[in-house]
Amino acid sequence: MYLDEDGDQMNNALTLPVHRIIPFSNVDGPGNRTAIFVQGCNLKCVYCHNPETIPKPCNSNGYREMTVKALVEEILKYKPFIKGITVSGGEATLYKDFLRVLFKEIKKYSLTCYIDTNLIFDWKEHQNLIEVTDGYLVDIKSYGNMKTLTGLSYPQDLFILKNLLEAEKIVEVRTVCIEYYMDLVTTVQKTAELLKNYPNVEYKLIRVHHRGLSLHQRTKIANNIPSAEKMNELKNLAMQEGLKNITIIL
Amino acid sequence: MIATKEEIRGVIESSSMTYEQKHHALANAAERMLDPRELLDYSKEEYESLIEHIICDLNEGYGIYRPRYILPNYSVFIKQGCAFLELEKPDTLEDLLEGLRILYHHVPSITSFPVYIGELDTMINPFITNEEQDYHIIKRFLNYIDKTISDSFCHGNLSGRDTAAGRLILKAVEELENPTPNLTMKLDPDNYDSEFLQRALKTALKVAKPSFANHKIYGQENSGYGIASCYNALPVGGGAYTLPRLKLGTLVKKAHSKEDFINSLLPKYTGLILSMIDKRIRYLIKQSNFFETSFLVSEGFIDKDLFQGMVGIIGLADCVNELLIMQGIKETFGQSEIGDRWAHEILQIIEDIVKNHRGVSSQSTNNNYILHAQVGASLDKTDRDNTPAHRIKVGEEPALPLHLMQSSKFHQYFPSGVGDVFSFDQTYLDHIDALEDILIGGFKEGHRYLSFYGENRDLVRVTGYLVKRSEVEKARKEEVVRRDTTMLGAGTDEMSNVFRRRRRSNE
Repeated sequence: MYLDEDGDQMNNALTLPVHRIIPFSNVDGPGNRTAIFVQGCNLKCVYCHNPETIPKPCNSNGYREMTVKALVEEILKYKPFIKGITVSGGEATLYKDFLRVLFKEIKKYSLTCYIDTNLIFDWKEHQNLIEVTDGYLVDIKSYGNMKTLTGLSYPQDLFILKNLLEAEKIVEVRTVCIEYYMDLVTTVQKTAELLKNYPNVEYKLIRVHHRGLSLHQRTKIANNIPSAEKMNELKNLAMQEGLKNITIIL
Repeated sequence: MIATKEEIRGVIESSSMTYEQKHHALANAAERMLDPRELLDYSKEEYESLIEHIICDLNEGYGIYRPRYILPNYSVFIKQGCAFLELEKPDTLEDLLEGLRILYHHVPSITSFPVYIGELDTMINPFITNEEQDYHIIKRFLNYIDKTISDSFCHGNLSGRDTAAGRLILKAVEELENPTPNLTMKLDPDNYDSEFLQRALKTALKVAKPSFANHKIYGQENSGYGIASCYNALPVGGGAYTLPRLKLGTLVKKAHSKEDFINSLLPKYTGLILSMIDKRIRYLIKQSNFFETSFLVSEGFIDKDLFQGMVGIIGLADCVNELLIMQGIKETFGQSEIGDRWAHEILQIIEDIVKNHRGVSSQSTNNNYILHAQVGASLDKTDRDNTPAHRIKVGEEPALPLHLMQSSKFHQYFPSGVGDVFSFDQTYLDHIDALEDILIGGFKEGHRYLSFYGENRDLVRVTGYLVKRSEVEKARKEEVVRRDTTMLGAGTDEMSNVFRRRRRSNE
């Protein structure tokens, strides 16, 4: 182990639990990107489409521990065809120390580094990672009570979103819309209020769907899918707040 | 193959051919009535290679009376009109397009239809005066081509520059959804307009054209090139005399061992194809009087010195697969490191022999014939053993990133044309910047030519040309269809499953 010029640990023992790598992804930020899905999440959302990535890494779930060197080698195979990488999950920000070292390496090759995150992290502790991250793709889960939707015992604070917007580090913001489990109106309103001054940042309102989910999840969701009219109302609400760049995905 | 009376009678009495198709087939049969051993002086070995289906002349015939591919320099007409056809030089868009329609009728080729109709945006753009009205004129022009040129090897080019004409052409081909003309945009990966390229890529996902030619590579090799027929890069104002092909997938079946194939069969048959090309070109130039009688020559649309001989190869995948089996290796071409190594070894041997052969009347190409990755035909049952060109067999394709990297390495061998085709799911229409990255990455990695199309659309790129799925279904039922390429498409699909290419989504 040694320290690099920034004082980061360059440690071959430092690894990332990688659930899956998608070499070419067109849905994880601008352009063609290599998407890396990590194992482990700090939330447990009722509609999660990758529930197998939620449990903390342990021998029983399918993932591999990869060193920075191994991951860089894998990514460089795709370099001619990609704009950069996006780390998603699970929850990517659980591995901030690893990602900082990885991103510093990757940026040497003129590739951009994005994180897909739920923003549930400590602002101060994450400054070192934010500094080397080109952009965040963000899920705003629910404003206020998070317990029923995600299992988190404290409310989501939009303070981090606000700060990242000011730092011009936000690429897109999404809210998956589901009835009953969240306060849809307040969530959309509060998010739109923050986004309205950033016309380049797209706000995607995604209607929850249960295709491909387990029976257990489907029963929780089936009766709580917002109608198309409800989705339009939410869009109008955001527009009333002054937001223009907004898309509904049904 | 030498034509027989039965074959001729079969054509005359066919219940699935149009009058025009019979007419062309009978003319072709006439070219094959003459014995090449007498007419062209083919040796016994050369002739036998045809009978064994190892070398295939793509039914070009033996009484050769025009070059296979002609790329007229249409700017001659724009500058001075055409005396032979009594056409004045054009003043308006209508003059231009009418003149071109007339000229196209008089451009010979192996198919009897023009395989190159010019760099359309470059020709049209100076004549645009009112985009709204001109759009309808351009659309009618393109539709006329589709309805009168019943063969989708007819190829138009786009310069890659963002012009009004370029945009109008893209809009029209999207609305028309016609297979003809085939369309290629020239693209320099280091110097292009991203917004215009994305516009063209969207058109490609919807109607399977344009394809993209790597202008950085082709422009350096030959500054005055055009893309004709499938994806053949040839000099504008010239073209190619002939294109026989070496069927590697058939040749390998003669081999006793890998060494026998590499050291003995491959050099021998590469030599035979070269000497056959010599004889074909000699006959065309010395006996047919084409260059002495064509107004295209006398008025400067084409120059005899800008023609070249093309050497085609096909069935690299099948050849390598057979060698892998011979050596007891359970891998297939496209997903086999050693398979790739052998494939390069094979192509390097062919390339060496071709470069060391002094070709007939090939001044513009350093007295060499030029290698071409031939994509196939369905002339006889051995075509089943010959996957197009250097391509991986459909069904054995690796994931897209690996496929792109594998195939890019093979494009270097084929300066007279090579290409790969990928089918994408519709999500790419909403994320066209991702497709741009894939295309530009491919060109930077060495791809000379790439074609993309969207799955589940009616227009499909078979190998180099386009067909409508709906029309192919008719051809399969032996109904009469207007385009001969529709019949070729049906045949090629049976041979190599091209309608079932691996669909590319996020992978």
